[in-house]
Amino acid sequence: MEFNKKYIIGIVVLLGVLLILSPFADPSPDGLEKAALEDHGADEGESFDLGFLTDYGAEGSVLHRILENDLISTIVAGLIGVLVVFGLFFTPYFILKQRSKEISS
Amino acid sequence: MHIPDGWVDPAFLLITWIIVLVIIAVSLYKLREHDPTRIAYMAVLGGTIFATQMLNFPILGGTSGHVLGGALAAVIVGPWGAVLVMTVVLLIQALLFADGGVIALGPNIFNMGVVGVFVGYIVLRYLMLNATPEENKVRYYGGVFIGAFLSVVVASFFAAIEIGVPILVSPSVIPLIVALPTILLYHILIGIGEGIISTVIVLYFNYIEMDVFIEIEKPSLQLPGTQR
Repeated sequence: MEFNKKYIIGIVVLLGVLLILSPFADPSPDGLEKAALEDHGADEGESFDLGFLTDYGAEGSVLHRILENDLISTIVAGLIGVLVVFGLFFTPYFILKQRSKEISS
Repeated sequence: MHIPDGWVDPAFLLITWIIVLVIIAVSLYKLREHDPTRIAYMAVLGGTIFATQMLNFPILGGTSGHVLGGALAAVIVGPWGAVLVMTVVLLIQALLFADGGVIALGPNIFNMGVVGVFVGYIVLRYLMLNATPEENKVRYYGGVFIGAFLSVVVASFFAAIEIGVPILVSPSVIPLIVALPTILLYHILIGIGEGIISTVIVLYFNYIEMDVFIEIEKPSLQLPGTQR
């Protein structure tokens, strides 16, 4: 199946809007963190940290040091994440598409 | 709702990892039955959910919430596809963005990628029994909303158990009885946001001519009592 223009433009617009909005997200802890850390005094947990994109390009990450801008750093970090997700799914998509082409020919 | 490393009792780590690995294996096996369109949709959903999860919205003073997305993915590509979408998103968040622990991927994928997915999916499928999405639009989109809402509340309930019930050792004691009401309260509010955002995104996908009814018309999971 080929995707029409409206669909592809629609997806690009949606992702563009989401990523542009991302630097303006509420920085407060989310419901689970708030309940555990602040309301009930749990210890800070640990995360695996490569250092490059830490907390979506937050201050201190390599990306933030390169770009030197909170806004752009968050958007670029988000874009990298979206592209990695796309890459992981479009590979099997193209393999399957190739296979279904071979079967039909 | 990403749990960091060091919060979950090892017993729950073991249980959730086993369940998650089995369900991912089944989902990967089912991938062979999916047509390419569905896999392209999985890519789009993965990207959309990743970006939407970055957008924390305020709920109560000093507390935020973000979309989980499991229900959103499940209503469009079915639960098996949605498990893989959520696994990829959570894996990338843990490995590249320091969001959620790596050892805690077991419970995180279990809560958001299995519980969230199946709750949202089952609610919509049963609401759409003997109904077609074209003729019952209100019921369909209402089902997306209710499914998404409940997916967050039920997922948070499991998260509360995993971090609040000490079995072997309790790395950070957050007694379930004390913490559960707060966790549920926050996630009822987050669930409303999840319901609204998921429904708006499905409406938008429908508007740009994505076949959002693909899973309701050609289900990838046969539920008891859903034979047509």
